[in-house]
Amino acid sequence: MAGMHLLIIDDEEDIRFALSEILEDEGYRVSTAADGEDAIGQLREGVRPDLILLDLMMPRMDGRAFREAQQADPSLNEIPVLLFSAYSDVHQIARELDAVGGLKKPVDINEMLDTIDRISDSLGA
Amino acid sequence: MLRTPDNSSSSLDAVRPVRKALSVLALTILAAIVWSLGSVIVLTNFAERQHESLDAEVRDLLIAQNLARLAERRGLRTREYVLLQDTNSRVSLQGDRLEFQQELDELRARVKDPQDEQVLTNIAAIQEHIRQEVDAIAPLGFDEELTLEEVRLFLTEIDPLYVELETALGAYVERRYARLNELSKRLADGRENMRRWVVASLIGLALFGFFIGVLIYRLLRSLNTSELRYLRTFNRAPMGMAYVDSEGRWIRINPRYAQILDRSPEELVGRKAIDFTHPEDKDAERLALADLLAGRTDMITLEKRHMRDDGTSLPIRVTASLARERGAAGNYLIVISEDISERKAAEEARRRAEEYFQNALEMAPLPIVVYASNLEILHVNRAWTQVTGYSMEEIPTVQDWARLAYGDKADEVVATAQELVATERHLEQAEYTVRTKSGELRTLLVNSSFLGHLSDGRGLRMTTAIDLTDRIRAEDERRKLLNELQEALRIRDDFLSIAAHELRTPLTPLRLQLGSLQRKLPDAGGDPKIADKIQQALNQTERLASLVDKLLDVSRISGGKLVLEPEEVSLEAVVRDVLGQFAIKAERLGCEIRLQIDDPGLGDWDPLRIEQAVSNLISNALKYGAGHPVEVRVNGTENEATLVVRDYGIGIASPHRERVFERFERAVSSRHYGGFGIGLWLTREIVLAHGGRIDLESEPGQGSAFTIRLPRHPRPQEKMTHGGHAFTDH
Repeated sequence: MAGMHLLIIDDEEDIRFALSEILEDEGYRVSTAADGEDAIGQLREGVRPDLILLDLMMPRMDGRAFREAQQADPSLNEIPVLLFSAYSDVHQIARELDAVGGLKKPVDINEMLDTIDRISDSLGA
Repeated sequence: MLRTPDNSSSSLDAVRPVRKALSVLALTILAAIVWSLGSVIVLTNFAERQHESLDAEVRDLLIAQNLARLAERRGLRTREYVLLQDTNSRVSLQGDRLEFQQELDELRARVKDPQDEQVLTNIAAIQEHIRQEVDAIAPLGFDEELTLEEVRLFLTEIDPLYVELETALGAYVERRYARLNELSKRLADGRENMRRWVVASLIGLALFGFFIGVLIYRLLRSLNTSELRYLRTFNRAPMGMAYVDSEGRWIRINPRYAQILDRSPEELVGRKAIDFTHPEDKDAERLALADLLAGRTDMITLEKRHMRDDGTSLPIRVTASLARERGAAGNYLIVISEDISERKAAEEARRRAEEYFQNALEMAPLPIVVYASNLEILHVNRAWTQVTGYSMEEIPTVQDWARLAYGDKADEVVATAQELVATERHLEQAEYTVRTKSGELRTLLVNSSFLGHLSDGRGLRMTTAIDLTDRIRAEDERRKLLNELQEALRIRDDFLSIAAHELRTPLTPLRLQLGSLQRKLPDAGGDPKIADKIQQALNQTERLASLVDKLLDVSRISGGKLVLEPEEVSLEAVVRDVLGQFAIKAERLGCEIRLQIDDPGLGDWDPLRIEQAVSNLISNALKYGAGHPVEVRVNGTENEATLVVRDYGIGIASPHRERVFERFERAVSSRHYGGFGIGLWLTREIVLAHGGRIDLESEPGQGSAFTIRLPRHPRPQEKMTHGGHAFTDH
């Protein structure tokens, strides 16, 4: 679904930059946050992405904490989350955190785009 | 062999007094018999002679009586003849005269007494006178008849002659008769005397016999109680007894002595004792013997070795004393000997045992000190001196030791020692710190035992010490090393973990950028060579990512953080998935994948870990079996599922088979085959964590076959306490 709004939460600026560039090239609208706290702040300020790409390992507020905070907030808990982590058991964690899926870093770009497409399709349907 | 002891020679000497006594007895009896016989003979002869002289007297008397009768008859016949003048009477007268003459001659021949001879000569002269008178009257008969006067004259002349003759003969008869009476009386007296004498003799003999008997009885009795007992003692004594002369020769030797020396008494008597002495013992024996003979000592005792015929020696103990024999040729020695081989052997055994004990004490690696209850130190061993630096001379008492080793605490230690000595109890495992001679402090673990009492009544204690100083130091050192090692490991694992993350962090944007580039290239009308280069770069990033993941796995599992999240898994599905991932690589390496599924291989396992294990095995097979087919087979029984991955590559020699499962190990050089060498280790860790096992069959040049057996329903693994997932070390 072109034009879908994505929020990328990752403490690595290089990743945020590369992902933004690629996804924007693919026609997505992309916002970024450096950690969970930053993301929550943006969301509370009214940013409403269609999908959140969430790293797990971050300073200040990590992925888990963010997810808890998000789920605790009724205005935010409907936003789907795709985990994006170096953990080898990212799929397992995704189930735990009730995420729509998980991608293991370093991710194959085609796999990532396929996954996002699939999710956006399901969201659009 | 022991010879039968022959005691004849020894008893001979011993019996000498008995024999003497018996000889005296025999001589006495013989003398008594001879004396008795002699007496009888003498007395008998005397009696016979008395009887003979009596017979002669009687005969003389009879002849004298006959002569008197003849004289009387001649007187009558002469008167008759003269009166009757009968010639026939003259013949009878002639016959009488002849008979008278013969009788008188016989009597004269028999008598010896001069007085008797005188009487008989006188009678013979009277008879001659008568014959002349008669012959003068009628010499040859009567030629003419005599006158009466002549007859009367003749009768007057002849009658006094006949009276004289008859008187002389009568007197003679009287005289002889008187002598016979006297002789008879003397004979009777002699018999009486003899009888008395015989009786007296018999009484004397009886008394003498009784006296001798008593004497012999007493002698024999005294022999029984002393000499015989002595003899028995000598012959049956259980110890060797002998007499030796001043030259050292055996004079007498008892059976036991001979037995000890393994010879017969006959062999030994006359030999010198010293000739049988061991050469080394001879000097001592000579000196001792000289002392004894010189009177410098009353008794000597020496132990020496007696040489036997077979060359062996027997230790004997000899005691000798000097005896002086009155009137004998010289002094002799009384020698007593004992076989002391058993005692010697026992002594030797005891001496050796003591020596062994002493050596054991001395050589023991434990410091040992032995002291008496008055706290006198009796022995310290080598180890004690080595550890404390003090020799026995430096610490004669426990007080000295305590003062040197314990300083201020000396009184306390001495008090403890005194208490131990008083109670005789054992002290176990007390730890003391002592100052050695060099000033170093050492920690000793001390045991103190009560050993018993000395002959002087003092208690004996032994203290053993274990020098803990080095052990404590070593333990400290070891603990320190262990800590350092653990710290190093922790640092390493931390480093690995951090390094892996740091390495992976740029990989993600790198890959994203490369992917982005790859996607944009066709639009930019790019060169296919560039697209290929980008693909190669992507492959390298993928490989780098895989290596970094493995580094993370190592650090994680080394830290005991392999946590399983089991769910129902199909081994078949996992295998197909993994083979899909490796399809391109397999093709590139020229490996035909031959998959055989006999069983879906369902079980409760951690799918990610199982995938990791399968992936490692496939990767391994492709790596080492490049250019050959790779066979993959899923099989199963009721309780377990099996995966076999077989390659036909270089194989693994037997010494390496177990090693390939170790971390950072590989059977071949890392130059030819990349990777960290942790794939098989990780695989095994995963399989073991699932309660399964992994086996390897391999021949060098023939390839390898890895078999994983996984129980379908492993027992629940005890989860680690590290959070809900396996990766929390940040």
